[in-house]
Amino acid sequence: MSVFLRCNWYGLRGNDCVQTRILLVEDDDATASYIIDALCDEGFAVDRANDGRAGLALARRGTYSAIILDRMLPEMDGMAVLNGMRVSDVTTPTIFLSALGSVDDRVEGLRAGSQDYLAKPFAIAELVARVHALLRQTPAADHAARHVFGDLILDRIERTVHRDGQPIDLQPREFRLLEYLMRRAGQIVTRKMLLEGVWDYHFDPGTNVIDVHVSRLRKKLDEGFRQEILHTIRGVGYRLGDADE
Amino acid sequence: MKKHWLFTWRGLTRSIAVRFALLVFLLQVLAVVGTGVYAERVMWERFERHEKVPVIRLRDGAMAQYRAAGIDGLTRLIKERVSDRYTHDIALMLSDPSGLILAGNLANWPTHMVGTTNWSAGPVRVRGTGRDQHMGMMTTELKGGYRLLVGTAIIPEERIISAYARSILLSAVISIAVSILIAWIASIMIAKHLNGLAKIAAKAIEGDFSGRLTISGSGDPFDDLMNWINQMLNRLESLVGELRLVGGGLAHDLRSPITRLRVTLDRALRESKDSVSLAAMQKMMVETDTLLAMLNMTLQISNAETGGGRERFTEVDVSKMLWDLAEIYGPLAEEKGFKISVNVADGISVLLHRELLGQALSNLIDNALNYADGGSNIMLSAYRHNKIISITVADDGVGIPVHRRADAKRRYGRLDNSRSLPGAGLGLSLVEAVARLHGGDMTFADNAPGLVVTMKLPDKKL
Repeated sequence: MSVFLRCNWYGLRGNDCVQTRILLVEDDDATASYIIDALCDEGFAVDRANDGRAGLALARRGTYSAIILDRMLPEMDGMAVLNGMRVSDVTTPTIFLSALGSVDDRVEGLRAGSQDYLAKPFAIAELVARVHALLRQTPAADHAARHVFGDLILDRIERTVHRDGQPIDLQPREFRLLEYLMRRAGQIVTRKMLLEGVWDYHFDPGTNVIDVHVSRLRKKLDEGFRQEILHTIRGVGYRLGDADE
Repeated sequence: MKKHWLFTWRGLTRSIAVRFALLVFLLQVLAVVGTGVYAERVMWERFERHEKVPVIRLRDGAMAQYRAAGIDGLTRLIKERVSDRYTHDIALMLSDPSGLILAGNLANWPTHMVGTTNWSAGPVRVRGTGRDQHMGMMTTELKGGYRLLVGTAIIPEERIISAYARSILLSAVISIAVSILIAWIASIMIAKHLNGLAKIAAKAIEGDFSGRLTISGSGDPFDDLMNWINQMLNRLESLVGELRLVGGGLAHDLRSPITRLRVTLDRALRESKDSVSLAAMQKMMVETDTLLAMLNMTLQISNAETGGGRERFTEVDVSKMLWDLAEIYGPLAEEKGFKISVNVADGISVLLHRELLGQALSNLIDNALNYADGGSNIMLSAYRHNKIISITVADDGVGIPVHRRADAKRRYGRLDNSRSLPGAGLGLSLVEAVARLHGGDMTFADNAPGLVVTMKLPDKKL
């Protein structure tokens, strides 16, 4: 069993590193190394196990905020690790990394209890955004009757949106988009996450497809307001929040 | 359902089994006719000889008496012979020069028996019997104008001929029955050999080259064929295996450096303050993402081409998917001056790979948006016809000329030679691979003006 702890070359950032510990179960050293680097950049502490058995043993300690689990592992397959975790009542949120180019493990992984799924090869920013989303996921918020962020209020029952008391008229798809963003206010949301979360499709759309939706929504949300609320995060996605966050 | 080949005209006229049966039948007919003609000749010869013998004996006996005892002696002998009332199967007649019957048992002299006749057959009536009898007869001219007629009962010729005809007919019936039986057995034997072949070929088309044909060891042409096909499959399997290995290996090898490149770029973008290098790095980031997308698409294509993911088919509402795609692409289409409309009946659902079909249709819409110059409408439609679901993406742009359509399907194939437009030439390859994965195909047609791409998928349910 090989476990090692690493943090990034630039040193720790904030207190998150001490509090937020992530388990990475990945056998490929190169892949593991750049995932660890990226997560450490974000201020997470990362433990890595390089086979399924070691991964399951670490996961059972229950001290992790999130687990990133590869599908193909020596000793014990990722799916078996996931099942082993669920048997041991380990409910740590898990992102499942699928085999090369295959989108088929997604269904199986989600069925076995993983919260998210990412097909290899992925952009590291995509993984980072999803880790953040996973950590802040609060199941109760999904069913809240209204979402409030700053001066923005979305009422799911009335299906209305107000900013600073002024009604904003949204089309149904724009409403769903905003609802998704508000549930993840302050987090980076990638284009793929939007396509999956809003429309439940898991293909790779042309880069502009989601951008156009978001820019239309942004126009309606920000027009006439001094403060922009929906930001584009270059090369990654979008974030609903304050400019300086 | 497809009609069995035995019930179609083309099947009947072109089927090897039927041709084989016809050949067997013709050969049998030839054999029967040949032996028949020969047997008839021999039989008639024997038959005639056999029939003539008793008549000749009778005549010789009568002539011996005539020579020994003259006309009177002969008359006496004949009277004596015919007095036996049970003698019905011979004919004996003697007439004087005036034609008066001196002795004999026939009612009258047969009109056709004039002069000396060697042999003649025909119906005659023996006195004291109620019906005609078929007899073979001879007449002999005696000295002084006396005439002698002798004959014996024979089997009539017609009866022999009809018996002969019956046997010919019977052998013809047997020939036909045997031919049909042989055709049936031959077709079963051929089918048995070829069905295995067909199954294995069908599997190979779907990307499974593992099947092999069993060889009987007889060394007949079928064995030869099976052997060649097995060798062909071996070669195909190893080639495809190598290709997969190279493709998979390449993708695997590319994945890590490209992802690392992106991480490094990402980090550099965050750290850099220089606006010129920032702009350059942003461009690099876009290219890196294109590379990653190409890599993903390539992996998806090879995965689909080798039949990967078929176990994950679920029943998908195609109608809803088209409406969703129209919604997802709607705003982008508007920006590019297109209007997406959907023409589909509700509730067309079929067993398929949801992600891959979504990706394929997304590629088609993307293509229309990027390459349908001069167009302003994109129509998504789906309909069910004859157990086939046809899903089409049609535009009213410039279209693809017929002679360039093969290029469009080719992997990394591009129609703009300058390659100035974005894209990797993978989109349509994926669409085709996805259609094939589902057991269907992809076709181009002219929308006059514009292009219609149709994915035809078999209408399968859970």
